[in-house]
Amino acid sequence: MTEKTQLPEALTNHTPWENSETPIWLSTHFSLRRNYSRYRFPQKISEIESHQVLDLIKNQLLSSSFLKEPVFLQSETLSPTDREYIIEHFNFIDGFGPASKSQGFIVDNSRCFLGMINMGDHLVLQWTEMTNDWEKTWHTLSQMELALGNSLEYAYLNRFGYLTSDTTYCGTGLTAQAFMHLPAIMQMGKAEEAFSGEIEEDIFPREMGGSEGDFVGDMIVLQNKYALGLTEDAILQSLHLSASKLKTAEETLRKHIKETDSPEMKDKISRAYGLLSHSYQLQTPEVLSALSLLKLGIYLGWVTNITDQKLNEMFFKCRRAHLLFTKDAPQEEIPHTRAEYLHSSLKEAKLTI
Amino acid sequence: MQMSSEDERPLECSGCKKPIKITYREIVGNSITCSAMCESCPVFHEKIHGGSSSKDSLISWEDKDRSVCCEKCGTSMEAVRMGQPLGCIECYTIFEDLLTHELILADKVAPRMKPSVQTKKSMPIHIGKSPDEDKDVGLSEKLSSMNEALNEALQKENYEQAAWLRDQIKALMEKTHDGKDATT
Repeated sequence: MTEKTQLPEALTNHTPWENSETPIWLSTHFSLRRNYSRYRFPQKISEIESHQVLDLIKNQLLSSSFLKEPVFLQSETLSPTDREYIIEHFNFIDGFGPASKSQGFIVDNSRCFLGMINMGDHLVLQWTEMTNDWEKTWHTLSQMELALGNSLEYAYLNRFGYLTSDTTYCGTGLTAQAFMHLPAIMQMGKAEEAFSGEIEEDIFPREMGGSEGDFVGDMIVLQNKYALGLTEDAILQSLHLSASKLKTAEETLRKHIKETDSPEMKDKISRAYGLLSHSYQLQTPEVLSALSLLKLGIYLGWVTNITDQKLNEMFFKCRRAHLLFTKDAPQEEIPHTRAEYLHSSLKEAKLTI
Repeated sequence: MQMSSEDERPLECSGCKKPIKITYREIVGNSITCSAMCESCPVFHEKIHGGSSSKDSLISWEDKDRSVCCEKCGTSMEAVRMGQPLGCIECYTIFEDLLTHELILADKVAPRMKPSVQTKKSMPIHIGKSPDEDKDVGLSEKLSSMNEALNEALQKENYEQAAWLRDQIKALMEKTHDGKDATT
């Protein structure tokens, strides 16, 4: 990058799922939204007070024992590429909105924590879990939230729970998401059946990006429908149950594909391999779809000399901000830069079908 | 349902921030009007229900719209109806009834808590953890609320819902007793 990045190396030298041992249930995200009762919420707060909130939260998080060498990033001084990089790295589906002076991020060397200050709410704490030990992660996040509430009272009412600027999130203030890679279910047209049969009523499937119903890269994000009227434990149990059932359904279908030696699936995987290996220009959605099929190919033993973890890394590095970190390129050359990156990454990979 | 990018929101809803979920097409003679609306649009409900009680409630919100604002942050009732973000803790108190109504309408309250919320306005909707969990503040209200919901579920013979609520009440009480044991 010609423009110097403010992001720490721990974040830019690694991608989230590069060490994942779980090819189907890739990660779980927990977000807690909180506001302080003393101050107006970010949309209505004065500039002086918003800086007070920023300083208060920043100082607490920078000295938090739960984080490893935390770093503060002022939102307004981050380049657009840095901001987009954060969205890509943390899979923050809903985006951040425009930057202002009193907004900031806190990240640390774990690469799993993202703290957001004065973005919609005074405080959003997000933790990513990638080892399926989600109970421990949830406990850590809860303890951190408790510690932050010791210095100043959270905005809370018995009727509505923790108060957020967007009433959708009031109550627990909890958004829990499970990132699932389900190529067998999606490619065999079993999505509707799987979603209606395996997902609990208070969980819903959503896309990682793109338009509604467009599950790019066969990635499905399971998310709690309700933050209000359920306990935190009930939300997490529903999510865990839904994700576990979908994982089992996906495994069953993959086994079926392998046993039947499906020619249709072989064709899809071969075409995906060809697209990624030989295209001159590539756009992100088509790359993610093709990578998804290659990941399935690895699982089925039809693609060799490359690991699932490497494809996970490519899943992030093919995205625009990640690409620009490795090679500065003007907007119109990004599709070609992306294609070049994929050619070199798949150089050793072999199709055995 | 196909959404036309040219369909516009009704004039009354020009400030609404909620996502478009409904295309309303009205055919009168040879004239066709298309409108795009959110799922909780009061104009849509008025068109569908005509002169029913939902129109009365629409009028009662509209009458209050112009005068009710949050004193602390200036957020107006109209802004709340349009789905704009709230400005402070006081907004939740001042607009309590409207917010409860909007949350239920937008399906943002867990179904198992809906009946008790609709029948007993003073009952808490939130049953998760609170800032003063160790002091049991609000615990009795939460338990009351859940017991209300449990009784209603039993009356309606919705045993699955009743079993879920029974388990939640048990879990909440066990958690409280564990907390007390740890501090003694």
